[in-house]
Amino acid sequence: MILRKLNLSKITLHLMFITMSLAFILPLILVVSISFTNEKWLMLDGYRFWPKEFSTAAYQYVFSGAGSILNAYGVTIFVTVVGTLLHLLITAMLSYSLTRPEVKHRRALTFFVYLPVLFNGGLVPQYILLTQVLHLKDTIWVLIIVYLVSTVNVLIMKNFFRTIPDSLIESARMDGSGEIRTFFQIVLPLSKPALATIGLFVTIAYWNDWMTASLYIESPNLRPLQYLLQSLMNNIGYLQSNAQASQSMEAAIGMLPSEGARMATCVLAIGPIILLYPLLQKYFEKGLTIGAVKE
Amino acid sequence: MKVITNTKPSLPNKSNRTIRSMRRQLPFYLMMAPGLIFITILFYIPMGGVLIAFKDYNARDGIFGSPWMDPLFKNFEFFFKSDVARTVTFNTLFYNLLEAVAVTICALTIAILLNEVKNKFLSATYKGSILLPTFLSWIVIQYILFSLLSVDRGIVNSAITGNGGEAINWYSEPSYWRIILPIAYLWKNVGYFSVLYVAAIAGINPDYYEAAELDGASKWQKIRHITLPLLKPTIIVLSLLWVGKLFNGGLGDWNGFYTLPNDAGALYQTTDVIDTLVFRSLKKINDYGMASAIGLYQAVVGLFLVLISNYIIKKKDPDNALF
Amino acid sequence: MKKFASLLLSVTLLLSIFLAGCTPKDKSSTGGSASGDDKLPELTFYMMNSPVNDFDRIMKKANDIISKEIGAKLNLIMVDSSTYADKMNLMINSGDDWDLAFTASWGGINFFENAAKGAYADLTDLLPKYAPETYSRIPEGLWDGVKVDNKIYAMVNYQQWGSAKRNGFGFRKDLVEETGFDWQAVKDKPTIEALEMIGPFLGDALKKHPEMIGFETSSNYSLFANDPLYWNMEAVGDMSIPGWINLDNPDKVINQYETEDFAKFTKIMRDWYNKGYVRKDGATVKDTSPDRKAGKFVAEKVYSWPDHIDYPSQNLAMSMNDRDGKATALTVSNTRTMIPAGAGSTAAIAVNSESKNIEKAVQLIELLNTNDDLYKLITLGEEGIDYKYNEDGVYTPIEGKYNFNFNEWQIGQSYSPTFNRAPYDKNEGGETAKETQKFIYETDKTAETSPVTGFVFDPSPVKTQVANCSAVAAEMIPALSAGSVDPDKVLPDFLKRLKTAGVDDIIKEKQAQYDAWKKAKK
Repeated sequence: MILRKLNLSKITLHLMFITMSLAFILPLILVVSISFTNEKWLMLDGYRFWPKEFSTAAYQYVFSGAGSILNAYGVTIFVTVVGTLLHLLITAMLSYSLTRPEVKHRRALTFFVYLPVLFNGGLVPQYILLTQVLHLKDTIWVLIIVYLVSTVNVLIMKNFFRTIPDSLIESARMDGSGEIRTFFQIVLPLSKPALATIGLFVTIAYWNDWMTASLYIESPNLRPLQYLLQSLMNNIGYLQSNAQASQSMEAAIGMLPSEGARMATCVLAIGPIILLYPLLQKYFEKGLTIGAVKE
Repeated sequence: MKVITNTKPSLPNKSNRTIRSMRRQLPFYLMMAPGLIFITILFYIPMGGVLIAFKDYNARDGIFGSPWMDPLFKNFEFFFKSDVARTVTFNTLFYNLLEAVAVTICALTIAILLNEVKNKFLSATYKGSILLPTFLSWIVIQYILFSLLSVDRGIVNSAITGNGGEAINWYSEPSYWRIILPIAYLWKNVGYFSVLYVAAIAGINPDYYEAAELDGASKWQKIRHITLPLLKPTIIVLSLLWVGKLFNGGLGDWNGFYTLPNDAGALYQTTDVIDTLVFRSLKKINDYGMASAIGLYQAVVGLFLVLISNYIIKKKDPDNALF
Repeated sequence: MKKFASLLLSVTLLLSIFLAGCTPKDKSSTGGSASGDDKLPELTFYMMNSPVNDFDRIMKKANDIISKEIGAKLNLIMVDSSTYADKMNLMINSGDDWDLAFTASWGGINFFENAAKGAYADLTDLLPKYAPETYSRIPEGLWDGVKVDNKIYAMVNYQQWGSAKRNGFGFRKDLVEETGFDWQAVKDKPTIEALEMIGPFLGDALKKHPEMIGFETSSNYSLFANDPLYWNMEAVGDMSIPGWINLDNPDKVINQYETEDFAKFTKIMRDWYNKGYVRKDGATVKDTSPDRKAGKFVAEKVYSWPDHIDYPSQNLAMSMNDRDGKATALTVSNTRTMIPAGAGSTAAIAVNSESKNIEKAVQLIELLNTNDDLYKLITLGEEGIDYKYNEDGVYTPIEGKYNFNFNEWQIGQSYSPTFNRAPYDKNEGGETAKETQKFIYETDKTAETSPVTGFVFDPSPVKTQVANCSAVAAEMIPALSAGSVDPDKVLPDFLKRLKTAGVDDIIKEKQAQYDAWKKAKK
């Protein structure tokens, strides 16, 4: 009786999750399908989950038009990897310290960290700061520095660190470990789930960012992938909506596979980053404090 | 049932001299230094820009040199004089509150249920798929939404007409968007928050559950008396972040409100929030002063709300107050 | 955790080394510094464009020519088109360095505001001296269009399709023949009358082809609000802000939405909407290119002229359709021919008033405008490598090679008296194109210029009202123009809301500034 009941609830649970997963996955399948559909059918027949006539024209167009995609992938990967690692390090050190009772002014400091969530000076001061004070315009570092620290992430991570038992740190101190060593050797390894969680979101932010590049990057070889793809689409859209400015070419523009290409750029942009999740998956499974506490 | 073993400030020994306490604090300040420095540089220095809200800004004189507005609050005027100010304020609060409650409840439910899925592969698959939309930008979601809801080419309408129904004009009827927008935000954000809660649950010491099992606690009891109380700090932090942004579109991420309904005038009644109104009104005249005036107004209201909520939390549960 | 730290370090180091190759050591590396003297001044030129293949190869060749001719180097910087306006306004408002930039009075690029603020260099005296050819080739009226306080602040990019505007309508040729529509009768009719004639034609055509759409409506274009010329009107200052003039009574600023024409227009559109001639979601649909590409429209607005009555032999297609396809078009124009006030500032190049090389910058534009080989090199690439003329003589870009994404109009004049600056097909079609362009160019010289040319409206005294009126207009115009609301009910409400938002203050302010400007001009 109990077994049957258990199975029933288990089945309901899985059925629920399967339906839910479908609701999250199907729209993306739609994107992939559209990107491989012959443009003509999109116009006449509408969108379908399965291409009526298979075509790679959209991808060919994106690859032939977007300049050096490989270089752009290189830039994006560098920015994402370096940016995420630095972000995690800075955030972890800051938020851990904010949880330590030894730090007297931690409430005031937390408020200091929180305030920028609300107030920001807008684009003009940021532009002046990055270009004229820090001189980072047209360098790869500008792409990294803008997301180097996020006050929201500091606060979320601070919360994770609070669950680390004091006794652990206390015993490390007894063993003569300095505070910084304790942090790197004991606290950080225990925080892998937290680091993986925050890291995943930071990675997405770096990976998807194209606005920074379009404001601050001017050399073609420093342009990240998202910028390249976005810009390619913007140019088509822009020419279409300003037919007056480019009258003579209107028919030619009409031939470009715009809808399919739009979806193809999405697929190319999201594809690699989605693969990251399975890699990080194992860290999500581990508890924050298991094991270590018992020892 | 109190299980939280929180970091209780170890009371400083009276014989502790200031110097000793400073020496104890030093390593922490060293670790905080990079973060605090970057926060100062990246966020506090540009904050001088809020002055623009009171200035008749021009590049030649810069932020500090530009003349003050006369009267000082002139840049704020247009928003409060706008005949839709009330509608957009209502929309902003409506969507944000709805969103905050809906996302929190859904994400918590999903996270707790995910914890019950013992098969590692399946649990990873579910998590992965729920998280997928988090990777997408609003523009991509707009494409998706359009391919679903387009009047003549959309999937939904072809399903309806395929079954003999009449095509629905999704993009022309404001009332539909009261539901479409929250669903879209939920769809995009619920994965993010679920994963945060999953990580928080993973951090709970299994000893608690084992002890509870020995006492013969049911699943529901364990959730109520162990999981939820231990998640409280996380829920509070996230809610406080949300409260501060209550006057901006969903968590300060208002782009969806602009992008998803195609910026269609006919839908403004239900889709316009403060930020989209400001963005649209100022696009034409590109006035930094007026833009930052509204930003400042939203920030001040946000600050006010946060301080109140934090005060209440501090009274009831000092350990979990943000500051 | 040592592992983590060392991993972080080594990854960072490795990637830094890998990327050292990509990081620009000096800024000129993008411009190709190979030729000659490295001390030549470098001119930065900002424009909007998406990324371009083989950019370095072309820029190196271009810089060989430029350094030889004027002793300077060009660093062309391409900015994404959707952020271009933001980026340039930021650069201007933060006092950043730049020499030349594409500028215009639309899309938020704010030519007039920036010129009035002193961001652009005054070119009035420099043009005749350093760019005589550019200066003389362009009709006087266009130069008036880039003046603020009687000073020229930009170099007009004079385009091959001319500046004088004459609007009209285009119809699907096959459907005209099928229904026997007397399209020629539309010629020179006031737009309301024209639309009344087109209506029955749409009805007949759609009866036979119910899958088609009569006329295009979309949320970002209104035949009334975006096109004053159709209504014999002209915008005073920014088009989106209320306050136009009627061209037959050019002294009085009026609220265009209070005119009888607007009321009639909304009624016609409502009628068409009810009869199913236009899309049901016309008020909210933004991108109409799928419908255009599918050749779905029976009739459409048309800017290109001469029309089929002037030149019956032209082979034209409906928008975004192939000229050899099934959707060929017959066009007829119905408005007056006029160089609008905004013509000069449709596409122009400004020089930074803080630039150290203002003269060189002007010389560079002159060179781009007069050296056809240089212009074609940058805008088309190299013949045989980047493009070719196929066996029918049709211009064909070669896939994956350098192409300028059709953005040639931003960096100079595509018009040339010898037709040597644009890729005309080497066949009959190309010859007809040249013919019609000659006609356009001649008309440009004689066409009337808009009475408001040269007037710049300063919105700062009524900023609040402008912001609120544009918000109201953005909300209501699309629905009224697409017929999806009943004008009998909504139009009065719209006018009332404009009044509350302060439309009368704007009209009054415009009138005052306009009067003062006219007085000063005399």
